[in-house]
Amino acid sequence: MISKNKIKATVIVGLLTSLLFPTISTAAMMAPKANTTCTMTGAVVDTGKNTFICLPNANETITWSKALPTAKKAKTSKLEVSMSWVKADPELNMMKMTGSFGVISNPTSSPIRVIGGFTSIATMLGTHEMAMKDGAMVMREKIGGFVIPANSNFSLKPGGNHIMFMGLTKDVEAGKLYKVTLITSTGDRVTFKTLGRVFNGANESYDPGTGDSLKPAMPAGGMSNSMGSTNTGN
Amino acid sequence: MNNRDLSNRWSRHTLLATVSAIIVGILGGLTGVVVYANFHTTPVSVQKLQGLQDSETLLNSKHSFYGDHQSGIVTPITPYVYVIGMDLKERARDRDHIESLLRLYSEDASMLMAGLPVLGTDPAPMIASSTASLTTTISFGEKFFEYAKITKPKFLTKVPAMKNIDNLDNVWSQTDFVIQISSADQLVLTHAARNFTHDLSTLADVKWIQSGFRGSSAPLNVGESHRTLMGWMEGIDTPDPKDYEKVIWTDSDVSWEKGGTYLGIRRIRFDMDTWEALDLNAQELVIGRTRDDSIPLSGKAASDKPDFTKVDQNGLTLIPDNAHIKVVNAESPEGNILRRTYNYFAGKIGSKDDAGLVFMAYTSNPTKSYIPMLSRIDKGDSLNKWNTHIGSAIYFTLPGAKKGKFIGEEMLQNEN
Repeated sequence: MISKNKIKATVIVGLLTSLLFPTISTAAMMAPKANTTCTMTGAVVDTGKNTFICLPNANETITWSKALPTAKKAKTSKLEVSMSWVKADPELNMMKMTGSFGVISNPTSSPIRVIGGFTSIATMLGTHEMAMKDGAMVMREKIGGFVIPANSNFSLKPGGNHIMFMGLTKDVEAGKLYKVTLITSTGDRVTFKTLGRVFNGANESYDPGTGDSLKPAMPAGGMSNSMGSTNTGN
Repeated sequence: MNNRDLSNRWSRHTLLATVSAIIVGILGGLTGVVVYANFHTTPVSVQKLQGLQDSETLLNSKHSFYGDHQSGIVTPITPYVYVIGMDLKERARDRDHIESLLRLYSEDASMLMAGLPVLGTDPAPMIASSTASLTTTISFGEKFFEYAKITKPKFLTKVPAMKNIDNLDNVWSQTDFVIQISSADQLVLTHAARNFTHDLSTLADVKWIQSGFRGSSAPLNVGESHRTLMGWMEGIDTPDPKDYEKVIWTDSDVSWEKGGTYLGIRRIRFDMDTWEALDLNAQELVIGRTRDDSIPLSGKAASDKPDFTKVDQNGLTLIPDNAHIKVVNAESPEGNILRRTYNYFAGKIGSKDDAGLVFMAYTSNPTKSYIPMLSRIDKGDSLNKWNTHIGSAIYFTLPGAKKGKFIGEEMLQNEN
């Protein structure tokens, strides 16, 4: 059992490392092995043989997923994503996160679980939910990802389940389309585009109890100044 | 919801009308009565406008965002309009951001016109479920094309200064682009305006918003006149629908310009007090028509074509040479404009009403119609004594978007 603070610290170190040295591949830093501890929730590593996703567990540890197919071998998921948009903020700096919303439809007769994914504009992607904790709404990782019931639509919306882009490497701009890929528990993938949109909401606070909580551990100064800023333009 | 699509509605009308025409035609043939002589020569765009005279229809109708032309030009006129002049922010004055703007605008417009809230961010989604004939039209000024590094449409030139009528206030001047939104429901209209300006807020700033209104019982067909706040019918000298292709839509070698049009906007303040102090017969000589029935002073019915040569027993023309209707009269179809004019009332300036017209003219070539008409007015319209032009701007209105595309997508693709 790893302490919460330790997870937090390793997440921060991992995240900072990947931001400071973006050319070093995640794979080079960590050799993923199923069910072993990892350092950045949401990280997706393609070893050339397999894909692993760093996922949170119910006991507040984070571990690598089972070996999933690589991009080349992965099947296209039957899931369909529509009405997708992402909260834009033209004044983001490198550390900022943002939420993406829309509808995931499962036209099949079996439930499908989305466990993670990736986007070209952020170092990590998380499946998040809003939940009550100590009388306040907080955002936290959805342990186990999103389960899309058979023949159903699953809404991703502010104040509810959503996709979180963490460690943005680009400003998210209103009117631009960004490519996103979601990965299911069987390793199938669905790729779609999400539209940057100005939105005043989705400024929820992060639950300090989960591994990806960056806010409380952020160093003072430049980078933290932009945290939680709203997108009022320039 | 009882949203009836205008084109579907019209197709029923067409069917009924055609069937009736055949039946009546047969009867007519028997009795010698001539009916529907020009029925089959009427352009489709005009057919759509007919038979939509009741305001209930207007409240329950919606238009398609997609088509050869943008909505809000020859679609039936609704009682309310916002015309929103916007400038690109400094950071957005490039091709990349312009593409973002066009995509966002089209995304929002297509949803709102279909009676749906805008994607994800609509602050009041239930208002969107009624459209009340909502139309949205986006048009672009010279600077817009300059920033996009695209050769501007060739007739998009500055409107020359009009030394007698102009008293232009920078508040209402040229902008990089303009969005005209109209609806029969002020709440729907304002909701749309708020969504657009909010959603484009990282790319563009609002310079001005002109709000306009018409009588709710005014004719809905775009080519028909309506009674303004001054009590006079406005827009009688309007193009014949059969000339719309020539008068309104651009024909160009540049493919993305085809099916577009030019939009001239003037904010014309009217001195209501001094005008209303004038005797009615003097007012009628200024205009050239009677006030109440709109009969040209040379004729006997409102539908009579004004005869500018007809003289009284003293040899004076019945319609004075400087009468408003003579000055604005277009001598050829190409010289005419399509008017979409609205009243404005913006309160008081001192003891005087700040009232007048939000004058919008669509034309296939402003250098042959709109600008010469303004010059003629400037030189000698006796109405000038009461009219002051306080705002002026000119734009090119891109053609409509194809299904699934955004407005201007073809232009951006072809002009790389």
